[in-house]
Amino acid sequence: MIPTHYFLILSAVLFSIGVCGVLTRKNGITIFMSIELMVNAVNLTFLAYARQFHQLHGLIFVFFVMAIAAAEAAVGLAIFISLFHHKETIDVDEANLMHW
Amino acid sequence: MNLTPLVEAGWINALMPELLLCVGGMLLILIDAFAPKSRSVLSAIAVIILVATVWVERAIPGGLFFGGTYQISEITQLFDMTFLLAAILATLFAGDYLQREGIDGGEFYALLMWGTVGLMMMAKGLDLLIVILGLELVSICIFVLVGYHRRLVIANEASLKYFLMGAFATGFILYGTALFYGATQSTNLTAMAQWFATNDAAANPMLTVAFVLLMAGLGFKLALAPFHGWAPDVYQGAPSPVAGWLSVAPKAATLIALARIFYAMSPALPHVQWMKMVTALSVLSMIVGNAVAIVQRDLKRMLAYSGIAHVGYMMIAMITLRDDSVAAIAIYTIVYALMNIGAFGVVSLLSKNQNDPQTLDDIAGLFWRRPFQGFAMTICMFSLSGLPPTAGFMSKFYIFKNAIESGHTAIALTGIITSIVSVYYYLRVVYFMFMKDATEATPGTDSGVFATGAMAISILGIIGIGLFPGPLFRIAGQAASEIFR
Repeated sequence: MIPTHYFLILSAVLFSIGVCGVLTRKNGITIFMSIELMVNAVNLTFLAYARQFHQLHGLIFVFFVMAIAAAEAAVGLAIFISLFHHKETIDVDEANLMHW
Repeated sequence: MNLTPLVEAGWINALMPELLLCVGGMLLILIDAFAPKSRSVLSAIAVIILVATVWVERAIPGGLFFGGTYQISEITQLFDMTFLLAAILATLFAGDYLQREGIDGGEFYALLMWGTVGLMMMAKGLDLLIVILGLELVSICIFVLVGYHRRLVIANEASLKYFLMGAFATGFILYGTALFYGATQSTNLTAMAQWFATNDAAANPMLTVAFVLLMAGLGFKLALAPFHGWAPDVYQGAPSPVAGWLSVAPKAATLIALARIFYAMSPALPHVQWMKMVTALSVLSMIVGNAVAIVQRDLKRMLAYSGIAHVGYMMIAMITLRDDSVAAIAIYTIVYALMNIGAFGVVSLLSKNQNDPQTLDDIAGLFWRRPFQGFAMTICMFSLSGLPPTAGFMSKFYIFKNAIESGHTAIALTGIITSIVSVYYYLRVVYFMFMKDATEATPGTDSGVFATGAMAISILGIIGIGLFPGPLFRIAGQAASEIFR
């Protein structure tokens, strides 16, 4: 059996890649994909622990997290389409009307 | 795992307020779809549904439901009342506002109600799963509500910013929860509390990482400095009634959920440095919020920075963590709902091209042009700055008194000094309303019945609680002891 901490390290790496993607990318969809990567890293962590503890609790959490991510994607993509209508681009740097 | 005991008899009574709001929201969308001519009465129907929910809320029995993951007690009822009050005020202001802007629709009120359901779940959840589901329900409703004014570029930009920041923050909250699950083997707060009582949290560095991730994520949602970057932009771009609601209700729900999480951890807290981080967040929020608000000329951005400072004050109560501090948060959020949604509501009446900022010049001479709006704004500003005899003074005083009694004198002093600084920018608004002359181009509209009613509720609430704080403080004090059972 593969030790749990292998999965934990992998999910920490995936989460960090996701965070780096959010902070460095300019394209809205790419940023959103990076966020999805973070959420999937979380799912992997839950699954690894659930396997280690032999619990259903963590597994069920994963289903809810997937549902949350799907709902977020539905609204998020609509927001991007609306942005494209206004600006003809989904580069988030173009959303710069407000600043202090 | 056995599923039968998870659904207790009587669950449908316990969930009555949530069910009523869900069904009410669907009803509003259907009315809008099948009888588009009845649009003008939608806000009235929404108010009726919300008031009916208040009435139902008072009748439901307390207890634990869904396998001990859903608590209904006096404190959750008090917080539900706060959410419903915020939703009623926002609906009243929105009714006129949406018609004036030509974007009236049933889905607006539906989203407000479903968001309120999410807030109720956050306040009642004894399992991190329920709290996170509630948080996401309200977040998704807010994404849409912020961008509700679709034709406006600025609203779209605001909803884009809130969406990216919110989803990013959700990632942190989820990862923090996953690591807590790994350490404590449960996401149930009762089980976590048992684990913290019997194990040494300081021996597990993973828990500190988990706590930092969770605090960062919830800090985003609360708009605590240094995670506050989105707040001014989102408030400026969102429809003003939504901005008012958004600045109050999600913060109240996040704070009560956070109080539960902190309480579960309380055996470990003396051994780890976590509370120092929370103190730093609180102090930073008070300083940054009040300092930056001084240089703002845009009213909504100024209120956003003032909101950051107010979350800083509320976090002071979180640091002490005892029955009194939960009561203090409950009182503060009720008062904050009255004064902040009132202030945003008056801003929403300054009707003009919403792409332009609503600056201090726009309210010049407001008191002489429209006395009632000016009077409402004056009361809200006095209350926000914490001047007696308003409710804002009582709630702030209670928080600082609690902090000093439990030995956090330095942080209470920071709070007092920063709130003295804040008097400057709140009273500057009052100064512009009374002393400056309006020009021909200065915008403004007469308030309709609903907006006038909402302003009256704000004024009466602020002055009523300010002069007779006894009953509310007694209710909150009794209710607060139940949160930790």
